[in-house]
Amino acid sequence: MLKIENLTKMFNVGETTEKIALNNVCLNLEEGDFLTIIGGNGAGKSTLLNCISGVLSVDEGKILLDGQDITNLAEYKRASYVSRVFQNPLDGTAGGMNIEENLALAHRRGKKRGLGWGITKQERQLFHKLLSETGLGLENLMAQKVSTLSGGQRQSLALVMAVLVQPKILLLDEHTAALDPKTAKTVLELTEKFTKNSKFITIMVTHNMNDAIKFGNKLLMMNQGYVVFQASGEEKANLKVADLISKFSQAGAVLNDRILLNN
Amino acid sequence: MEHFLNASVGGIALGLIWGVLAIGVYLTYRILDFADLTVDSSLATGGVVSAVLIFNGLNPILALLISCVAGALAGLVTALLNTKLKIPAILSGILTMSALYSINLKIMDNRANVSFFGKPTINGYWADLFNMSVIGDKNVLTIITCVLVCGAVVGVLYWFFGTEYGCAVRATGFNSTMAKAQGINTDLTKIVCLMISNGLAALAGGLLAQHNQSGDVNMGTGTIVIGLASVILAETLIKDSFPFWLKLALVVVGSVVYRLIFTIAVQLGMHTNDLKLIATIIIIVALVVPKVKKHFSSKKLKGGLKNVKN
Repeated sequence: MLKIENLTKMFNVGETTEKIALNNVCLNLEEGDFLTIIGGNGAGKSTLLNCISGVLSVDEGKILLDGQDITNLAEYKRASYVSRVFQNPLDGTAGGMNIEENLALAHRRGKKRGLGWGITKQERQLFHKLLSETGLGLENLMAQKVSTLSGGQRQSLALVMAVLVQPKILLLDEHTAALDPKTAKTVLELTEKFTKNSKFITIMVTHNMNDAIKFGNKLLMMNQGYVVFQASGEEKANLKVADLISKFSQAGAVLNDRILLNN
Repeated sequence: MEHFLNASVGGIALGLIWGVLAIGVYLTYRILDFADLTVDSSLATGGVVSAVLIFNGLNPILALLISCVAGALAGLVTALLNTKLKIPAILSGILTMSALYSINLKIMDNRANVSFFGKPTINGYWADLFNMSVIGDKNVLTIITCVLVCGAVVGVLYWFFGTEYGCAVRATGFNSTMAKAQGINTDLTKIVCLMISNGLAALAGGLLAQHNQSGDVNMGTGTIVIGLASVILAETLIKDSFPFWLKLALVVVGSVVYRLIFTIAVQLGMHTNDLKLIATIIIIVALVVPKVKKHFSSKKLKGGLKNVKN
């Protein structure tokens, strides 16, 4: 269970550009929850994810995972529990290493890395099997450098890597935003496949209101660092894009073209 | 002609010594993507440590190992400055390099050099074995020593970078964001890689001191340029698909080629004072040639896919 208590994060403290990126954000998620986060630019969506993953330090508040306080745990240590797919397909994989090496790195997330072989024969077989199940054809390119793959293939690989070792939390930070619509759809289908009936918590940031409604069982709307609307269960399932737009307006949010054009 | 051949053998011997350094530079510059200038002084550290130890009667192989450790410690300092104190990579290296100059002098009890003519060096083992003269056959003996050392270094590194931890180091260099997300302590991987790299630089320094039978505080001046030149020359030979051990071996070849270019230049009547200028020209040519090649090959591929970097 992920419990976020009064999380506050400020940037450029004491300067004229001071900005409150997160303001007293509270969040409670149970095992198997899939939360979508929606909001305009500067709403604090990515900041929230970066606080959960440990990329950013927190100014105030607490992050508790299964009762354990992980607020100040180093990013690389937190990786044992938290896995991520980034917006930029280049960020989630090592382009200079081949597919199986990338998978082998992911297979050791949260484990001690010693002087045993970086990739074993059994792992190769396992990866081959897992990749063929995704239906992307990557299983035949295992020895190929990841830099030769397309953005969509890299992002799909990053997704496979994120769930290769079961995380407690999966963070998807607009992981389809840099892809063309068709590829984005493939990656989203894969996301659905991996998260369905999963035991871990998934948090997906998106600019696409349809996706925010379609995916997951909980929804969070953010604006200027505040949580302005939350919905779950049936209420969330019955939401329409028009509802979300009116909620945005009520919060006084100025919606940019990117959000509106996406829907 | 005989003179030219002798000079070439000397060039190969030096090239192999500096090949050990070049491998170290390759690890930081190419694998870790960290421009480390520490090697300029850590090579000399290795040299003076070996010189002082052998002068005081220590076994030459043990002296080399201690040199290696001393260099690794220098790498540790640079790595700590960068990872813990967040000082930029290049500046961290420069700071350590500068401080090491004083420390190198201190190691030699504030003398600028220490000679140990007549004391046993690692070459002595082969001299006894093959009944050769330590002085007369110096270059050949050094070649034997360095082929063995380079072989061992390439072998150990090939093994290491295939291990779980070695893969973590490589991942850090390729994409530290991804490495951290996969739970890799990237501070530690940087520390380890810089320690190995500077350990190798110091090993090269130790070998150089034993070859010259003296250690000098200035023996490392310009090391980074020599290292980079060797790596860049090697990369004109290296293909992406080559196995890692072959890439490392070719880095040593790059270093030998670099030395031989000098040997030939001097034999052709070039003044030794002009060598730094030639070195720079060699590096520029080696850097530009692949780009020109790529330019022409991508023209051939008109309209085709261009190689995507990263």
